[in-house]
Amino acid sequence: MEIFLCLEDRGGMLFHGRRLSRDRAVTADLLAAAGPAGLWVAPFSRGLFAPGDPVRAAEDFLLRAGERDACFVEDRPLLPHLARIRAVTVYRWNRRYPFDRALDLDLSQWRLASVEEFPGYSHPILTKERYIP
Amino acid sequence: MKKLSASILSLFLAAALLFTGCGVPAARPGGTAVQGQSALSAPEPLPEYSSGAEEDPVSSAAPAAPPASQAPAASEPEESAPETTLENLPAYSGEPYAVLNGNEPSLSPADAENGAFETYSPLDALGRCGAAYACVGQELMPTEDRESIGSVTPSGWVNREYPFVDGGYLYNRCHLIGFQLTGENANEQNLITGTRYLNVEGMLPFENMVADYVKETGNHVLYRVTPVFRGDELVARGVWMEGLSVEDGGEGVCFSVYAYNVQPGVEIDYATGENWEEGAAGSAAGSEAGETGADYILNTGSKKIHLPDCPSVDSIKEENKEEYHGAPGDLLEEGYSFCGNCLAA
Repeated sequence: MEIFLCLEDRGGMLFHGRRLSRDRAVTADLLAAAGPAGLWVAPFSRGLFAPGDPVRAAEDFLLRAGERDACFVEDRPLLPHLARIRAVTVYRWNRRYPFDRALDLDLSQWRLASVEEFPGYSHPILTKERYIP
Repeated sequence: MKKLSASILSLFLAAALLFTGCGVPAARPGGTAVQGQSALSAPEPLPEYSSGAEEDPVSSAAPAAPPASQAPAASEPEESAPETTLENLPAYSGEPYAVLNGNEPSLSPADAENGAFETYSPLDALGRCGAAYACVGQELMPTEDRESIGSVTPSGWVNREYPFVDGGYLYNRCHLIGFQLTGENANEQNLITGTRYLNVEGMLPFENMVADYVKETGNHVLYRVTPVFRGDELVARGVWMEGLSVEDGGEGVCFSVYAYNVQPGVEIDYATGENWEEGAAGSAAGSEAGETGADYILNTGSKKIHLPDCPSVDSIKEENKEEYHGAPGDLLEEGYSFCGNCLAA
């Protein structure tokens, strides 16, 4: 599966069960990346998307997702699913936020396949990085 | 521009009051140790700060935000640690902030029923800021670039350069409510003497979180920052930051944290704002403002309190010149007042 996630400058993902930030430009990019097949998310993330968006929400979405499915992850560890991950795409906020949960993968050991920058709605510049194990 | 349709917000508010996701407590925890003022119109008055919070560390309290290398990798925050409050606040131990009161702010959604607002406490007799409180919405956010705030001299402003401090200078004129949230420029009631570390590592991450949420959702966030002083000290030991999103009852934003006004590598005399590199002689001996070793210079004739490096000190008659060590607040009852130049509020 293809994993998509957002990180603040020090690798943080959540603070007391709440997302650190959001940007509608990221949401649009996620949907574009997922394509017609749609995006798997946790129920926690469903509210980021409009009701008609091609998004499937399930608590066990990382188990349900197929080999080529796109999954957006905000609130859970990835290490247990490492063997099934084909790529990780990171959207970097390029800002600092408080956090008490960080990404549990060390991406420095992965191959950085592509880097792209684009303007956000509430963030001046977002950086999109794609990593291959 | 700073207007809001109160009726629309009230509808959201009614729903928010039913929402319990953030577990908003009904009142502040008892005996909170903050320097506050009663000028805030929306919240209840804040009690007087009375004890040395950092002298009673709770070593088992978990840090709020471990660095990425040490962060619990996608595991739940510790639940067994005793709840940290202002009364048992641990001493600074490497983390820029500590979660207070189980991360539950003492903010009432009812404060937002009339829409966006911003309130700032008048300076106290020592020229110190009190709590700043706002219901932040897009209508309060700045539409123009930030202006200079250098005209404001917050209490305890004895600034110095250190080569290892980001930006060079120890102190920033630290907005209680960040410029990006309410667009306040040189508002003396919103600027404290804060270290670069407090500003960037402690406060900015929370300001960013609030700002992004408001911009992306169009919702509002109740946001209060209360400087915490000890006794008559002129520099705050830290700030208590609280945030609560209104329309979704805290689902989007909910926090209560204490950010430490410290700077790694620098020791600070919070009574005066004087500072020196860690491990140095314990005072600013030989430095630009501390050559006399005194915290202040008094003019016993005019009853004025000066900083040692104030140009007016040179013109004080020797028989009227007196060195003073300690908190200047004690002098006010003796008829002294602050020099309008070096200690302007």
